[in-house]
Amino acid sequence: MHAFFYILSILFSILLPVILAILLRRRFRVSWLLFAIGSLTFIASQVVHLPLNHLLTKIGVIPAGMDSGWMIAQAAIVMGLTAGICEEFARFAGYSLLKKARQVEDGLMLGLGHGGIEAMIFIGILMAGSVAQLFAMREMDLLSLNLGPEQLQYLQQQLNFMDQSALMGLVPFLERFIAMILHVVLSLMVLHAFQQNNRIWIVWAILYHALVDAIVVVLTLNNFDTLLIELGLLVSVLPGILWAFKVYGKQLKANQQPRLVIEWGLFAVAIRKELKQLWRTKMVLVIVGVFALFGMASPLLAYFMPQIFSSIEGAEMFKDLIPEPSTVDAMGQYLKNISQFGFLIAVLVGMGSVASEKEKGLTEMILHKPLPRWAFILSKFSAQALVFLAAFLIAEILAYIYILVLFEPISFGLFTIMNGILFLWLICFTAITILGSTVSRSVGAAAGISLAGSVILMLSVQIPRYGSLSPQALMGWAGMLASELNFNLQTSNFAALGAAIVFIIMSLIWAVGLFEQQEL
Amino acid sequence: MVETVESNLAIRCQDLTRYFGDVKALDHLNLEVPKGSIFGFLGRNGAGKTTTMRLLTGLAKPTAGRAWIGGIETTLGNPAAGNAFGYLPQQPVFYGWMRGWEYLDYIGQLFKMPAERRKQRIAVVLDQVGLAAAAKRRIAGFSGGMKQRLGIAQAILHEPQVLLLDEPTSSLDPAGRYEVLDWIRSLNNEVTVFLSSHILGDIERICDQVAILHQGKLIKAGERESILSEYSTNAVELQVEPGAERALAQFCIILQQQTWLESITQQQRVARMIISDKEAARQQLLALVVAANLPIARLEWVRPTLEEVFLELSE
Repeated sequence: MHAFFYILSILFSILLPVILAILLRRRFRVSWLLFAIGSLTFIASQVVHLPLNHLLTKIGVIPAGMDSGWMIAQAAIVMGLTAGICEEFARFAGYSLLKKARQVEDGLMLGLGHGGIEAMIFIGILMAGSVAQLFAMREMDLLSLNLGPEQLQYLQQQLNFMDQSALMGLVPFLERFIAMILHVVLSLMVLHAFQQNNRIWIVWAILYHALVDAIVVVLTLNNFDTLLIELGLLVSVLPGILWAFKVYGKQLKANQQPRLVIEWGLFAVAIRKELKQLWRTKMVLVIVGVFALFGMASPLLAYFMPQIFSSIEGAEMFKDLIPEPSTVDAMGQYLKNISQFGFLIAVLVGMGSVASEKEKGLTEMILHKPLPRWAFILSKFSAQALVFLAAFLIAEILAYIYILVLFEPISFGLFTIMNGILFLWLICFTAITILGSTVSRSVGAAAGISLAGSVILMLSVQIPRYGSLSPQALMGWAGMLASELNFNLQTSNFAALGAAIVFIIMSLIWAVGLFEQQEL
Repeated sequence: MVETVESNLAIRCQDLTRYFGDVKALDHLNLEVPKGSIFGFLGRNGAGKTTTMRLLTGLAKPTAGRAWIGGIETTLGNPAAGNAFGYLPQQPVFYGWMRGWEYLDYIGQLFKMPAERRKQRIAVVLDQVGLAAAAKRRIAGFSGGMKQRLGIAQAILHEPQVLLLDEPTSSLDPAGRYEVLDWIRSLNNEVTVFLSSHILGDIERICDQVAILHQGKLIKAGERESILSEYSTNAVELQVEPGAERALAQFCIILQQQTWLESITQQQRVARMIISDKEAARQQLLALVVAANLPIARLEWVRPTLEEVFLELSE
C-alpha cells in the first residue's frame, strides 16, 4: 500500500500542474508559453539559489549546525530570504520577457509553471529516486552499509516513515500542492508590481516568500510532526490566498471566456494522418527495419564474435582472448546498438516534422482550419512515439527469440522492462527533436538544434552530483539490468525515469507554447 | 466554443494594424464587407493584401485591432473560428504523398464532417473545380493549375459562408481562369467572396464591391459602380473611321502637348485619353478634332476602367 500511495503522490505531482494549466487555458485562453516561462523562472532561480546557499553555509552566514534556537532562526531567515530573492527576481525577469502578459490569468499560469516544475522535480524526480532506494533498504541490515552514526540515524528516521500509515505517502504531494498555491500567489504579487507600476510589490513578495519558508524551516528543524509542518505551511499560505482573491477575484471573473472544447477528435484525426504519412513516406519501414536488425543482429554478433575474429587473417590470436559469449554479451550488444544509433534515428525522423511543413507552407494550409496547434504538435510526437513503440516490440521479440536459441534463457519480463526503459530514453530525443523542429523555420536549422539538444542531453549524465538525475542515466539503469539479468531495486534509477517523463512533458509544453506564438 | 456576434456583415476589420518592425504593413484598416457580396481587394505588391488575409485567418497576429468573419472574432487565436470561412492562400501547397480525394477527406475530417457527407461533398467539389478525373492521382504529380483548383476545392469543401481567396486565378490558364471566375460569379448572394487579384480585369468582371489598399492604408472602398462613376468623367475615347489610324496617331501627338491631358493611349482606331482638367478639355477637344479634320466614328466621355482608377489612386 505504501508503494501505491507514493506512486500516486509522484503521478499527481507530475500531472496535476499540467491538468490545472489545461483547465486554466480552457477558461482564459492563456498561452502555454507562460507555463513554460514559469518553469524556466524556477530553474533559473535555482541556478543562483543553490550555489548561493552553499556559499553562505561555507562562510557561516547559514549555520552548519542547528544546536541552538538562535541558529535555527538565523538559518530560517537567511534561507527564506535567499529563496525569496532568487525566485521573485526570476519571476520579475519572466514578466519582463513577456511584455503582454499582464492579466491575472497570465500570473496564474506563470505561477503554475513555476510551482509545477518544482513539484515535478522534488517529487517526480528526487522523491521517486529516494523512495525506491528506501524500499530497497527496508529489508536490509543498515549496519552493513558502512555509514556514519548520523547518516544511519537519518536513514532510520526515513525508514520509520514507512512504518506510518500508507496514506502518509500522499503527504509529499500535499506539501507540493500547497507550495504550488504559494507560487501562484507570489506570481500574482510580482504581476501586481507590473500592473501597479510599483516595485514595492516585489519586496512584499520576497518578504512573504521568506516568511513562509522560514516558518517551514523552523518547524522542520525543531522536528515537528510532518502533518503539523504541512498545517503550518497551509496556515502561512492562507493570507496570501485571501489577498489574491481580494485583489484579483473580480478581474478573474470578468476575464472568463466561454469554455474551450478540447478537440480530442481532431487530435485523433491528426495522429491518423501522421501515422499514414510515416507509412507512405516509408519511415515506418525504415524505423522498424533498423530496430528489427538491431534485435536480430545483436545476439548474433555477440554469439559469432569469436568466429568472426578467427576468420580475420592476422587476428586469430584474439579469438582466445574473447571469453565465451553469454546472454550478458548479447544484452550488452543490443544496448550498445540501440544507444549508438537509436537517438540518431529519432532525430532524423523528427527533425523535419514541423520545420519542413512550415518551410513548405503546409502549416498555412492546415492551421487556419479548426485543428488546434497543440493537436498539430502532439500528433507528430504521438505518431512517432507509436512507431518507435512498435519498432521496440519487434526488436524485443526478435532479440528475445535469438537469445533463447543461442544463449541461456532470460526473463521476458526483465527484457521488457529494459526495453521499456530504452523506449522512454529514446522518446526523450523525439521530444527534444520536435521542440527543435518547432523552434526553427528550416529543416537544416531544426537538424542542428535537435542534434545539439540531443548531445547536451547525453552529456548531462556527466554533470557531477546531478548526472544520475538526467534522463540519459536511464541508459545506465538499462545497462545494470543487462549485466545483472535481474531487477534490483537498489541499482534502479527511478529518479532518471521521473526526469525522462518530466523532460518529455516540458519539451512538449515548450514546443506547443512557442508554436502558439509563431506566425505561419 | 466561439462567441458569435449577429451582423449583416460577412467580414469586419476594426483598426486592424500590423507592423513589421518600423514598417507599417497594415495601418488601422477599417473595412466592412456585406454578406453575399463579391469583394475585390486591390493593391500593388506589398500594399498589405496578403497581410490582411493572414490576419483575418488568424495565421498572423495583429499589432492592434480586431477582425470578425461571420460575426466570429478571428484575431483571438481560437482555432474554432476556422469553421467560419474557407481560405485559399496565394500559393497553395499540399502533402505530395496524398491523393486528391484523400487530402479533401482529411480536410473534411478537420471540419468534423460525417463520413457520408464528406464523400458526397468531395465528389461535388472535385467536379466543380474540374478535378474529378484526377482525384485518385497523387498530388505530387499535379500541375500548378491543378493545385490551384485543389486549393479552391479545400476552401469550399465545408460550404463556408465566407471565402477568402488570395490570387485565386494566378496559376490558371486563360480557360481555367474564366471557368473559376464564372464559378465565383455564380456564388453571388449565396457566399461572400473576398478576393485579391493582380488581374484587375478579373476583379472588374466579377466583383460588386471593391477596396483599394495602398502602402497599408485603405484609400477607397465601396460599390464598384459608384467608384467607377466617381471617376467617370475624366476619360474620353475617340474612334476614327477605318484607314484613319495614321491621322489619329498624329492627332495624339498634338493632344500630348495639351496641358489638360494626363495620358493618352492608342489602340488601332481608338485613342483613349485621361483628362486632368475636364473644363478645359470640354472647351478645346472638339475644336481640335475639327481642326485636325479627323473622320470621327465616335467621340465619347467614358468612365475609366478599374485599372485606371486603381493606378490613379495608388500613385
